[in-house]
Amino acid sequence: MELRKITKLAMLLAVSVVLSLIESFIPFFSGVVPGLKIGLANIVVVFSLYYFSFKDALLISVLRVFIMGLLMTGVFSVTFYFSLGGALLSIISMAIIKKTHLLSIIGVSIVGSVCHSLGQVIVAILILRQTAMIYYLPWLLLFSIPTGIVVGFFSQLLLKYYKNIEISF
Amino acid sequence: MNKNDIGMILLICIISLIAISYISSNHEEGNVVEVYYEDKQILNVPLDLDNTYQVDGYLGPIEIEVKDSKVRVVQENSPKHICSNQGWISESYESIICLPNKVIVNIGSDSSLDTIVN
Repeated sequence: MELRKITKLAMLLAVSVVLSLIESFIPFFSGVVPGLKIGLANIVVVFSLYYFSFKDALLISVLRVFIMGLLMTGVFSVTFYFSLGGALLSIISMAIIKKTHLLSIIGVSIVGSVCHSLGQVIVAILILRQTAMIYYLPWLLLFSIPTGIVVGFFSQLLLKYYKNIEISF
Repeated sequence: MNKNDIGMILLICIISLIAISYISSNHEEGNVVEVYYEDKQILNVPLDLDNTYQVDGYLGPIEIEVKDSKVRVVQENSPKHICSNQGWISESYESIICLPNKVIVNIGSDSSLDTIVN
């Protein structure tokens, strides 16, 4: 991998970790669906998917989950697998939907947001061997729309301005 | 945003709203508090009996309070304390899920309890 690209990816990874950290301090709609958040770190993942490639976005996404695990909950803890399941399903489904060229970046981001919730619920059901989580799914799906739009909107802005910044690199 | 995006948003809205209305209209009246550790039931107590209980989670003890036919997790050990911040639940389709502790608090309906009460 080219040194310039490694530096860029490392920088983006750092940004996504910082966004995750900031978000972990903000309780958001916790009354309606416990633990719900916007997923600001996904801005970096969606951006990388469009700016670089699926592989690079996957790398950033998985490494972010590992680093957040180290910082917050411990790697290979229950919540680590929960985050990993959401992150993996999200990035894989976004890459597939992006290939079809049916949806704009905002649509792709909504798919990512929906699949993030879906992946987390699937992992939770597998770990707990309980289906109670399913009752949260409709709420999670509904809230995925605004969070997906926010993430998609900022990714779009970032893509637009990053090209201008890059000339000065 | 294009036409397909809006179509997908509407589809997700419709699916989730149908599911939410289905879940909240088709449920039995809950009368017992069921606490699970993974798939093992570790506590089964009546919902109308005010009391506090302590169960063991994956990361430590969990204190559960039952009051006025509502239930909440008072104290637990987890990184984000999502389940103790969730507050009270009272409907049978609601549940408190403490993922780091692998503990689920459900409200269930036990028909044998009804006959005893009646």
